[in-house]
Amino acid sequence: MTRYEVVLRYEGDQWIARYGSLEWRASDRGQLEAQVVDYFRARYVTPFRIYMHFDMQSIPRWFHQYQTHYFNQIIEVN
Amino acid sequence: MSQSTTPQVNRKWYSGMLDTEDWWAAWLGLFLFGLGMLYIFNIDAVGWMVKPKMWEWTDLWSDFSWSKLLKTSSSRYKDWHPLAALGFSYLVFLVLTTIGAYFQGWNLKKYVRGFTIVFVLTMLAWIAGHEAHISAVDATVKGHNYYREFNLSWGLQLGGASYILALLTGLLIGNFARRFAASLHEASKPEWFIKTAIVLLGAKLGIMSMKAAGFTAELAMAGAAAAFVAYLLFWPIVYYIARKYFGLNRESAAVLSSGISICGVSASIATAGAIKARPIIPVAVSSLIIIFALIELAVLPPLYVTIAPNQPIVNGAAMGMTVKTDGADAAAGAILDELHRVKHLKQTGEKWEEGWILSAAILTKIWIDIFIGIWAFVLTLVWMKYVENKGVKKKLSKTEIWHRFPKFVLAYLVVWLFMVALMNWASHDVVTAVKHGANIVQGSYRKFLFMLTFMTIGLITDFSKLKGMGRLALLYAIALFAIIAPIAYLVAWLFHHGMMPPVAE
Repeated sequence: MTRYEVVLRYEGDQWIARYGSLEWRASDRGQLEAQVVDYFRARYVTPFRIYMHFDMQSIPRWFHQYQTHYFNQIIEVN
Repeated sequence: MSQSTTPQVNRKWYSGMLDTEDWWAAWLGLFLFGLGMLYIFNIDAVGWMVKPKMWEWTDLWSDFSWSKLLKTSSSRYKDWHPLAALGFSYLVFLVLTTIGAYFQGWNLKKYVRGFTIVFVLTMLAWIAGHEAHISAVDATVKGHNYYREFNLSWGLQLGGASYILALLTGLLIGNFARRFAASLHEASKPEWFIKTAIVLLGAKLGIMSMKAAGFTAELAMAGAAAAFVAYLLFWPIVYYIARKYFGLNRESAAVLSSGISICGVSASIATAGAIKARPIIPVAVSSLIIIFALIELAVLPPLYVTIAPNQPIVNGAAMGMTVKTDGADAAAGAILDELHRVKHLKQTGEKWEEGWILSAAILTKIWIDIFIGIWAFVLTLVWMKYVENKGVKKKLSKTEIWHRFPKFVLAYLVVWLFMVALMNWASHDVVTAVKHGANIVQGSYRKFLFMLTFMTIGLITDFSKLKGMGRLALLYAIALFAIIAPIAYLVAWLFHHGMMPPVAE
């Protein structure tokens, strides 16, 4: 299955998804996921998977000594 | 939040091997242990490490000599001037940790400056804690009764007071000289230091396994059972109270429950990630956890020694389940170890071997750390099924468990098993050499890293952050002292009661 890799961040009060030079923002993560899925569904042949990798740079660095991973998630579009 | 444009993401199983503190604790611990193992080839690459001696201030005042304060860890380096050993110890630790800092992308200038100051403060506290009026106990140990040898007319008889002095020094700076403390933050990494020390403690566990294999296995298994209790009992109770009586939303209640009942900051972040909470939630909760961990490590060891002086291993295991964050737990375990041994020595004249009570605290905590990845994985499945947006189909990769697995634990297990293997199958000469090298790294090196941990825990603990957190602080206090501490103690008693540390040779 084709996979697309998106980087996820959290800044201020917004979730941000980046794919290359593209960027989506939303205060609600569900809304953000919907925007990202809509974009890929409109351009690429289904089925495919979107891998969303959380960017630890958007978590304060002093936190990294306690835990080095936030989350990754996979969205499957059929 | 950081504005860096270079993403730091965990894509592959090996992501983070060169740029995270967790992995660097493993590398640094294994490297130091490896140096100690050169004893097998009759090479002493570790004995130069400086350590303090018991001293008495009037004696020092009348005839000052550095050799009264400091010595090397091995007799092979006994001709070194103590200041040379001190300078070399500083340089080696500075270089090794700066390499780690470089790979982790830290500000090297700030790190070198911060580490230098932290090193000096730590050494001063370590030396001060060995002043005879503070630490000498009126009992004969290994042919010495320092209390009598220094002709003391009074003394606090605290045993090792250095840890407390380091903690107090750090706290004073962290709360009354905040700007100065902030300038040291690049090098204030208690979790890194303590995880490295725990890797070295694997060598101690290896030696312990030979002396009392059944005891060590029982400690390990009981720790696993305790971890189940922490996850399956503490978490739902705290979550229920947070939702029902404190009106927290699901996100905050889940993150706070993990922080309070499992393993502190790392659990709160893992849980927040599992339920995909906004990162500001674990950030806020963690300030509370760090401050309470400090309170726990200051209050619980003397409390346990007072109420249950004849249950040292129970107390150690209870500590592992109750005190949050690896640094605070190991620190509390070290204080408990010291307090118990000194009390027992004063009462009976018999000295328990160092490290067994501490190991009880750490083994329990390590199991809790190991299971956090699995717990977060299960929580993710539950959240995806019952809570999250159903509009899109999501899959969960098992690598999420691996990414949250504490990697320093792997190094701890490697060191432990390596020691067990060598001591079972190697020749008598090799075993003797291995013990010698292992005793230095798990002795002087580990204690120095513990000292750094105490100092830096104090430096990063800012009590003013409690302002405005009254309701959460109240929930934390109720959960900790009314639920977690009593249940943890009961479970520890069930699995460990009657276990005693062996008498020191």
